[in-house]
Amino acid sequence: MTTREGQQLMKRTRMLRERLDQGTVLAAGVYNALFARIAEQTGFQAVYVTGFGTAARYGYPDVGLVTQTEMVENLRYICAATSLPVVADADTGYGGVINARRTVSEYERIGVAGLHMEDQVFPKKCGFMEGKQVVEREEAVSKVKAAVDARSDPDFLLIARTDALAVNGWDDTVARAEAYLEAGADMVFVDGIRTRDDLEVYSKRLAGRGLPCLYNGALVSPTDARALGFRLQIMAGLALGAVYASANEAMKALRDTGTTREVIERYQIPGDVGLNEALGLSGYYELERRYAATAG
Amino acid sequence: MSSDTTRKLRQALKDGLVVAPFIYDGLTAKIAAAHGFNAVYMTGHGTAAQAGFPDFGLISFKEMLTNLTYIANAVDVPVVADADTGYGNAINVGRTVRDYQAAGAAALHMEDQTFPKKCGFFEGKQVIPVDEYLAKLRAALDARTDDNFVIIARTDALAVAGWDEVELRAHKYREAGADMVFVDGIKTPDDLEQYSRRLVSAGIPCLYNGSLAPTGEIKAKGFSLMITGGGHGLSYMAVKRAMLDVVEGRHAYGERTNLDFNGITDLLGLPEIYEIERRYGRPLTASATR
Repeated sequence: MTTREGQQLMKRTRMLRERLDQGTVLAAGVYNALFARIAEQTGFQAVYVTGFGTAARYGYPDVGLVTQTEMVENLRYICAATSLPVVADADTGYGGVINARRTVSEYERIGVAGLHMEDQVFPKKCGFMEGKQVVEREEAVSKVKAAVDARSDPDFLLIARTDALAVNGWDDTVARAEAYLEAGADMVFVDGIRTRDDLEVYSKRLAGRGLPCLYNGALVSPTDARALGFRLQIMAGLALGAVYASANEAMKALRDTGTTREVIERYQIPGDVGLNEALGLSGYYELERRYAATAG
Repeated sequence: MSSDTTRKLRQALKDGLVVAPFIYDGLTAKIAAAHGFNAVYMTGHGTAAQAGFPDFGLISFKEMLTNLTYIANAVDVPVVADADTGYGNAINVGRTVRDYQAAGAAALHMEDQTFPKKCGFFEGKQVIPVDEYLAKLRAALDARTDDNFVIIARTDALAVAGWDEVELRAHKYREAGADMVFVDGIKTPDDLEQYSRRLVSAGIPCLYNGSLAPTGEIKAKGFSLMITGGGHGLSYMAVKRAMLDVVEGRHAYGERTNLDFNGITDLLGLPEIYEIERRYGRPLTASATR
């Protein structure tokens, strides 16, 4: 496969598998193509496309209002803008088992390297919100099986997420995680880990036993997450937090002082290539020259 | 037909300078509106950037319209929207105006560059002849069904042909019926001074794009609309900084995350969602399975 710039690439599903084999992978949480490019340019090994952030960019809270179509559209831009492996939020698979199958094949076709799908009822809620509900374990297992059957590339990473912790506690969470792995999931993801203590339990009861686990959060560094047995760490709120904080500062300054200059100066990065170059502007000028009609 | 937001924008323009911060998605629109701005500006540069492209005429009308739809749904304040060249000839321009209006924009600006266009601050821009642009402008004016919808004629002639040409074009665009004129590519305080002296002082309603002077000074100069603020450029720097902090080992891991979860979920309307759930009966904390 090739990027927009024409580089020949290893399939990104394989690339992600190899990176996971080499150690714990840290994926930067992004929700648009620009931020995915920044992740690549700053040296991340993978990006994680957050449903929370995708909902936010469309103006909604993460409560199941954003559709599969909108996720796929966002992911298509992101996959085109970066050559990194893209791990994507797939919520509940956007319906029942049939919908889950379609979600897997759509994501796979546009170049996503892996996804996570959860056992909440549809429509879902963010893993850290109140009022989540989960479907029965057997129903969730069926969905995992449907997802496994739907993938055409065996390297495509299927991550089964459970939201049972907040609802039913650790015993059910562990039972579900084991059942999902047995059903063919490549990795499990217990969401809603709020404290260091939760993380220790997650490690003791799952990741530390050698079961492939994803950790969503930044309670510990990737080095420490690795020591706890985690294979993949996602910092889902990384880009979103930076945008939310800086935009609020800028709007406050503009309202109160009439200018955002000081805020912008404070965020400036000395020696940085700048936004336009991060988007590859000079490459487009080069294309313009290459295809310019020559006189005579 | 007249919408609430087009009326609001017309009223705000009568009351003095309208400051419309640069926004590029539903979230940044909500942040701007929450700070009390009475309009927001949807940037084409930012719409292209979030799709992974520089502002080089690669983003289509449909992509702009989609972004506009989300933004107009996200905020109650008027949305001023970038419409590039109108995406083609007079026929395309008619569609652009009709669809922007239906999507909930209160204003748009359309420029006299050749298609495909470039960012107003980039090298290598070209402009179309005045008469060709006037035909497009007339098509735009004829296409609006809401008289309060604001049509802003932008000229990119400054970098290409200088101030005399700009002045000529601005007057012609205004005489043809444009509600406002927008000279883009104002790079220096001298440009800003010329803009003010040659056009604002001549009684033409003008838009200023930039941050060479604070809002108070732009208001004192008599401009009608100012589009400014950090926008996606600031987001780029903030995200890059946050990512460099992680990659270079400066990120502070621990219970405090870099995301103000309650602040952002409140802004996005989560409390209202819970209220709707209560009203229509979905149990809030029903445990376990169904």
